[in-house]
Amino acid sequence: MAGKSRGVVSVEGKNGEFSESTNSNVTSQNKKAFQEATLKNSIPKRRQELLKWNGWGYRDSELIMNAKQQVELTGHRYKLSGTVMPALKDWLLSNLGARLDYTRPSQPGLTAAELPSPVINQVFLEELVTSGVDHSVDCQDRLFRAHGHTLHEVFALREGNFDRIPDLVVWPVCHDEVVKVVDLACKHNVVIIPFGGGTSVTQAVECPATESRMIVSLDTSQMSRILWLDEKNLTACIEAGVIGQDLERKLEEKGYCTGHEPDSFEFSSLGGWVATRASGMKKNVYGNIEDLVVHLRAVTPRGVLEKGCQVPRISSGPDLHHVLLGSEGTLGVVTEVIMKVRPRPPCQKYGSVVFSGFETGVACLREVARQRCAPASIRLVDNEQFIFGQALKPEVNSIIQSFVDGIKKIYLTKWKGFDPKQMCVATLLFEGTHKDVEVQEKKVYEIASMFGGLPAGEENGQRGYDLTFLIAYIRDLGFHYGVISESFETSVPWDRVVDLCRNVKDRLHRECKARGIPHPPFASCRVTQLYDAGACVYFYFAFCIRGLANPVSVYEEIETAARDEILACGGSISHHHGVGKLRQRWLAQTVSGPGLGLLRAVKQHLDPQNIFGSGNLLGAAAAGPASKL
Amino acid sequence: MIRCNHGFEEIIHHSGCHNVAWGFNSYNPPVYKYNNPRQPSEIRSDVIQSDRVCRTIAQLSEREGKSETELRQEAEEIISEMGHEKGMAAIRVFAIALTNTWRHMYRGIYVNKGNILKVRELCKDHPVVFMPCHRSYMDFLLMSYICYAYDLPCPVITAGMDFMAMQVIGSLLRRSGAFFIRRSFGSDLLYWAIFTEYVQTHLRNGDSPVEFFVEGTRSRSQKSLAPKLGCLTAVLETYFKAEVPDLYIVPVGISYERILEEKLYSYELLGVPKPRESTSGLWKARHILSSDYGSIHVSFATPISVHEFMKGHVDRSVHSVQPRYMSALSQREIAAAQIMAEEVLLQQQRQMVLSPWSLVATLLLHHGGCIHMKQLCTEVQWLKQLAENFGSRVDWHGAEDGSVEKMLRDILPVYKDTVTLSTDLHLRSNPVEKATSDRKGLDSATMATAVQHMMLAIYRNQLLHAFLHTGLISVAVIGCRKNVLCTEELYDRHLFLQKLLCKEFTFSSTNKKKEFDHAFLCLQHIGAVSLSDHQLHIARSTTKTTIFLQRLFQPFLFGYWLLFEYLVTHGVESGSSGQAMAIGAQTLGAHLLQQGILSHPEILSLEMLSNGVKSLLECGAICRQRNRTGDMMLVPDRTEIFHLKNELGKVIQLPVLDAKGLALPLTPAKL
Repeated sequence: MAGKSRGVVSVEGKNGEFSESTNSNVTSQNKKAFQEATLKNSIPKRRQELLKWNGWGYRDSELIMNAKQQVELTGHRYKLSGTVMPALKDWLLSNLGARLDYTRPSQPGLTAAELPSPVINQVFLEELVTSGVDHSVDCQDRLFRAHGHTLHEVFALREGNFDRIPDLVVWPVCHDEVVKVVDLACKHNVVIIPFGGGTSVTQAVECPATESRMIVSLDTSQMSRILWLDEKNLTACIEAGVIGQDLERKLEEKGYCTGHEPDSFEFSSLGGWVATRASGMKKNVYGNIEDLVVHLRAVTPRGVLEKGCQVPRISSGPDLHHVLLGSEGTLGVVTEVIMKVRPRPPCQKYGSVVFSGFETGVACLREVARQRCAPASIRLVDNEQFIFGQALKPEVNSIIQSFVDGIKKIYLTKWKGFDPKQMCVATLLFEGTHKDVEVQEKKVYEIASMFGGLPAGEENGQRGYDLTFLIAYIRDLGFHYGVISESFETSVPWDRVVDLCRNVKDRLHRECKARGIPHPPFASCRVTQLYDAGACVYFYFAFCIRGLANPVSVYEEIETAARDEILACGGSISHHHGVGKLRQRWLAQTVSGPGLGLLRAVKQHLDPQNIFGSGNLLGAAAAGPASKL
Repeated sequence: MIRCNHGFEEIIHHSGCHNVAWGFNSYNPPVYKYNNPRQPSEIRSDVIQSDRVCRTIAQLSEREGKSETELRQEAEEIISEMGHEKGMAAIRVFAIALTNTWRHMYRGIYVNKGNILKVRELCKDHPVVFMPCHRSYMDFLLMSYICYAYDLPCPVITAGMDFMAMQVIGSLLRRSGAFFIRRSFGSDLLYWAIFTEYVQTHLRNGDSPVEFFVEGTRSRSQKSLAPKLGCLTAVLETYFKAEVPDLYIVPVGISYERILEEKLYSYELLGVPKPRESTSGLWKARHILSSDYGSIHVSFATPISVHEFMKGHVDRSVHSVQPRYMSALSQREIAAAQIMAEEVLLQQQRQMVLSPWSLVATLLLHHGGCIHMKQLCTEVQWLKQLAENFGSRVDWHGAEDGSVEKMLRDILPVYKDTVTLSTDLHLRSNPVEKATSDRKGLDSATMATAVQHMMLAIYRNQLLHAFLHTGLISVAVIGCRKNVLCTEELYDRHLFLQKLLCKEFTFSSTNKKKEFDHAFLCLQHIGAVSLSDHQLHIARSTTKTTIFLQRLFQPFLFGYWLLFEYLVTHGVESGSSGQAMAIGAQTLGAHLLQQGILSHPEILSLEMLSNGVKSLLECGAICRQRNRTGDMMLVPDRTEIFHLKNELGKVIQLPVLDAKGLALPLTPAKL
């Protein structure tokens, strides 16, 4: 299909932003154009120049303990950059049992000598060089693509190492180059692990330690163009390597947006969203990734998998998109996505509501879902996270402001009788026309008041969402003081939300106690997404590892126990993070025996050689012969 | 005051509770961390409005054509009949009244404070379920009293309907936390739904600990009864369906030196029905309040975490695809509940403190109802050591310095109705003056002997659990007619006896081999049996200990033999219900006693004979069949029973019955 005229309003070539359509032969001339297009990428090819090699986010943005022993966010990238959070230190010390004199600084770096030497399939490499696809064997390039951001992986970066990292990184610039790479890999039996933003939290990009074949990390970041924008149908054809912030910025220039904002939005890629069935914060207005995708194009060892039309809905047997959505890089590489776009909303407004307790908060959200009047985002955080949020408040410079804060607190606790150890907050984000927002606000606050919820202002709402991007930076600060943390999520029917939240937090506490972890953990949750039939619940879990011999395995045991508890409470294996290598043990009970067989059969057909050998979802068993079925 | 080295503390005679003011003491029990405070009336209305009850009403309305309003009305009546009115006033009244009453009746009530304090801590973090053994009406009063005394939250207690009808007392019990359930409501779906929800709502919200007796009723025989699973499954369901993070079960062993109901029990076991509970009856029985009932030991077991216990037994996620109030429990969950029930009963037994009297009663039976004081002292000491070697705790208060006779003389007045120490220093069991019997075939003389025997047997039963496995091994040893027995065969016979006696005693269905090995090792290490090359040398293993232990269990084996004989000879005529079969066998038993063919009057125990019927039902030797009119009836399988009888003959010398033995007055002519 590439190169054909599609009869749509094409913006091709109008400016540097929207590049020419793909071509079967990448000449040196249009290669230059590709490079120009990718220059606009926020993240460079050598990501480690801009991003931390051993933690989250930008190198220049870091939470540090400043000279006054207060936590401060360095750099200039964020609204909160340069601000001091005076309460955070005490929160860390008192809530997690950290000590300022106990630190676990990261190792300075891993040198070439320490990293595994590459396994090179010489013939493959030679043919790759001939094909002209950009690549690197540099050990830091390989290391950066050896991991995502699970605790296990980050801990290995800070204090350990990896047994196996990719042997080569390739940067195809378009669909056709991906076809070339996959063809070569099939020909020479080389493993491909697709790599998008590298924000996986399921160990999905980790190399299977036992893989003896050459492993190629297929970095999609150089495929980041918007190939066309169709204003009549409100769709855009986008290369799958684009990362969230770049996609929105480019569309914004045209007055559009996708509205897909997962928490990792700054760094995660479109292809990654498809591969994991991602969910965006504003899905109530825009939908989750599966709602946004109109057409997918993926390169599999069996050939290019795609539908022959781009229609809003189709009845043609089981939906092939759903084979690729959530395939976690085990079937092929997603190269191009036709996605819905929306005109940018003129009005965006935060809000918040305080409830006397978590149960009433959940009841309120349930009612909002019942009446289907959820704003773009509505999240309910529990009391632990509410208090945590308070600890992130920036330094208050004006006496009047702190006075006002004091009054607010007195009003809530004394006047309204809210127990500070019970109350929790729902954060809201409204989007639409000014009028829409006004109507939505009225409705939501009306429902909230039925449950005793009190509006608590825009600022509290916004702080809730700020926490989302800040949390991963806080995690790195925690590591430094021996506090390890992780987040995990699930989806659950409405009638079990409260029980699930309570039981899982309780289980985390009990499991920590049983393992002799001296200080109680921070175990907290929030309800982050509303659906007709249930909700998504997101957990934060952190504890101090001082005195533990093997903190990562202790952590993993506890997370396993927590996931068992989630399933026992009627929750799912995952709402949007996926399975990866982390949650395979629960897949069989999740999809049933025949379901597992079906997944194996699909894998067997599309990738009989297990070229896409990341071992995600089905594990090493997927590589086995079909007769095992 | 600490007693018998097991960390027990006395609670009624110490100065702290000497006056009325104690009833007004501050009482600060811990509150479950996820509790939302509710009044008893709110609990009841929550139950009526629960999904489970609403759904049941809707279903019944559809099925039976009654209107929902009518059914809701019915539900309201059930819940108001059932519900407790727990409040502090009644508990304080009880605390004062019971302290004063008990101080006259009991020499001491001893509790193991250490575990009680552990339970108190647990109550903050988990819903707690008390599961005491049930030997007397005193059990639940004791439990609540102890909770009050130690600042534990007082439980809500499942009680039989019989109490509700009692004037004043019924309402007082209700106000102190008792809730009343009908004796049988198997098929009443609405009642089931309300009962289940009522129990579960207390656990979910942790309003109070829930207390119930897994044996279902007071054990007249003083042995653990086979567990009833209804209430336990309702309790466990809250965990299976993840409505609570975890639950803790606290088995409690209560050991009485003398049981209030000893006489009633002896009669009831033989088939004389118990009088109805009434306040006037209680008033008439007030004389018992001035008798000496010795002391009581209440021992809380280490609490069991249901979560830990169920690891590997159940998969809770099976309930994920249905609303929880609709989802039925899985087979694995029901099986796990059975295993849990066994474990609780075994834990209760481990908490028991054996009284010197139960040793005395055992020895009296062993010696035909009469023993010289001197010999008694020696043998009591021997038996005590044997029990301790097998892991039991024996109350030896007053004999720590070796003065066993002094101790025995000190406790004997407690049992003055049962035994007399004559001037020639012989301890004899007192004959029963007049024993009435309305049962055909049971004349009053037989009845009198049987009651006299039962009065001792129920106390001997208190210690049988301590000798269960060693006893069954001894049975197989003594009954062996070969010179040697290999351990595999010994284990097979042990298993056979377990299968046969499964309703009589509590066996663990998961640790069979372990329990056998442990008991066998105990016997070897005290030199009671002699083993070489995996072969048991029978002659050298026929020792004082094995003979004694074998005789402990003889009455049960003869009782089961009696049942077999009855069922084989009478076949389908033997009766259509378990009760009828037991009564038939009892009649035959009385006849055989009179003939001198059998010598243990205990074989007349209807409880034992009914247990036998249940055991045969379980192993398929009795089948349930529908007769021509469609009623369910029980039919013995003669071949199967004959086979069991043969097997039994391998472990014990059985009497041979001739025509004379079987020539019963009631025997149908066709035999």
